[in-house]
Amino acid sequence: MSDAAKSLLRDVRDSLYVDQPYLDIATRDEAVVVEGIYLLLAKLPAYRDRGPLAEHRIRIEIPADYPATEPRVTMLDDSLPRHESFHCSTSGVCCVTVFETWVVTQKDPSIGAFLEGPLRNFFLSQLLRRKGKDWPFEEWNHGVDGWIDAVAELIGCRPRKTEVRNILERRRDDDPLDMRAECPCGARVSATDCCGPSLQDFWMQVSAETAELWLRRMVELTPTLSPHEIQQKIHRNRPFRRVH
Amino acid sequence: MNVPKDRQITSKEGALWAIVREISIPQTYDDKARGRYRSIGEWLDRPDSKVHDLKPKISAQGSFALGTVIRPVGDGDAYDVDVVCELEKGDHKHMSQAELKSLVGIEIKAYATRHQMKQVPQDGRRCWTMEYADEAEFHMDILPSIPGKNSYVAAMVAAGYDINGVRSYTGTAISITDKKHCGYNDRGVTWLVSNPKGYLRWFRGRQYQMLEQRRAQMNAAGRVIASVEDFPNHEVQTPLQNAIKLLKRHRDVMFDGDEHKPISIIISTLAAASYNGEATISETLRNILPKMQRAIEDLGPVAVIPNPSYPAENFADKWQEKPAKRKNFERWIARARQDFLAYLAGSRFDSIPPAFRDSMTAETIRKVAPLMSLTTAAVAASAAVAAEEAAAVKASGTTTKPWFAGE
Repeated sequence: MSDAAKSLLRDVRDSLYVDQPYLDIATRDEAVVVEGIYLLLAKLPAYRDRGPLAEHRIRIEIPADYPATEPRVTMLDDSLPRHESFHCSTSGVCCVTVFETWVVTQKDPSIGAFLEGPLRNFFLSQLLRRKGKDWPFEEWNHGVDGWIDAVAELIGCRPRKTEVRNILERRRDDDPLDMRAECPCGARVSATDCCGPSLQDFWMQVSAETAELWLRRMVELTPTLSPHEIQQKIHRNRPFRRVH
Repeated sequence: MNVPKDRQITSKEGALWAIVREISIPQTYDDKARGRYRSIGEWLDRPDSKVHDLKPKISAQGSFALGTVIRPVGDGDAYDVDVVCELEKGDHKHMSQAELKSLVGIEIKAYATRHQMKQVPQDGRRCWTMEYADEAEFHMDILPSIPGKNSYVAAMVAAGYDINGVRSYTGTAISITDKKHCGYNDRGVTWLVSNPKGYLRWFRGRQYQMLEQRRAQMNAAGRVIASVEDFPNHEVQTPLQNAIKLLKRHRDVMFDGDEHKPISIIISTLAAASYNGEATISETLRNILPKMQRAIEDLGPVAVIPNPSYPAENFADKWQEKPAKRKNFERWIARARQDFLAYLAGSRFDSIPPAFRDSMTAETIRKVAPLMSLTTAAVAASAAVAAEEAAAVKASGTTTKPWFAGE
């Protein structure tokens, strides 16, 4: 077992030993696999003695190169509807959040922070949703659109694919950021007046290599359209439709 | 069942306290045991005693000294009271281990005869054992010893330790008798070393903050205790002591009668070393159990759990020749963490999970359960509670939104 895998295993144990008695921790090909009943625990002192808010049988596969690669959370029971409206695929895979943007915004993107943050938030949101309430922390749009929204929010630009792509390409190419020059999103105004100071943070948070990975991810997420669908899309996007 | 309000249990902490009360020995038994060993101390120090000139001093060691004694699981089982008999003027240049053992033995046998004890004191490997057969059935192991400062330093240096790190513990070290020691019958040889008083000091030091608070309370109530060092451990109930009692009960139930069960001194040492000044039993357990498990998992192929007051002594020295001991400890700590957290994290305070109930014995829980009083709303996972929890997440600025990547 590599040192990185050992360190990951240690982190996972540190995080789960404290209050998850029903999750078993094992290693598989350098990855850490956690499986069992996840307890959604109350943190407010007034409710701590009331027991868990919810229980879910899950599996979390944490790759050895975490946090470079996202952990995969899979439902093993039917405690959540396996439906996209509940952010759970038919095979039970949960999309707890847009992992990439979460990682770069964290001072501590440890596995403990992931379990206490996005994973707990996910199940807490699910609990409220199932009780007929709104998503308490809102939700991202599904598919590539949601991913672009999340990256755009991080960058501070408009949630448009072209703008996000332009910025990621500029970051990938390691172009220096000049806030007085034209904004890298493609708008013909200065970066100061366009995407603003969060762009500077983005330049520091996201490396050129990460920008390259994100560009690839954007391509992966973009559904492949058939020629007919492409034609339809072009047709829909025409400013003026022909009238026969 | 109508339970007086002051006895009602309305929290997990309350339930743990109630269980601790059930598994602790009754105060009268505790007083009796202490009275007995003090009586032996007075007997050994009487003017015509053969060891009078050597200044015998009796003190408790082990669970009685630490304040972590629990009732045996079986009704017929006896308590162990471990006592050190230190002859302060004793000197291994003028006395062999065999001579010391026999000298103390003569007096102990005379004490037994004088007090018409049914059983003759037994000459064990290291101790004299006296059986008391009254309603507080217990046996007392008396360990003959002499001051061991020089032997302690020699043993530490021989084991390659920096003596400066443990200099404060040298004054309390003792040399003890052991029939299996190669120089048992010889004068002038180095004896085995132990340091129960040093260990006690270390154990107190681990809960200094808590004891300091209690000391202030007791001083305010008119009982003057000069320092934490002088604190009678058995007179306080700290969260650490209570947590250790619960762990020992879990161990006793899990390894009923197994000679390779985890030993109390390792449990106490790991628990105290992991303790971080938590103010409640539940917080203490939640902190120490993961740390204890991690400490065991991180041990190398040769397990070393040093005595904090005498690091040359390895509490796990028998694990190498008896691998079952190590395996049992690993099994036990994993189970203990799971069973305690099943209650502390995974249950309502008034709903004791079967694994935890069994680990404390159903009989114990049967006595505690009726005291549990439901004063909180019945449904834990109400939308209102979840909404409050979500509001707390928002306030902490750690919200994240779910997403759906697609099938």
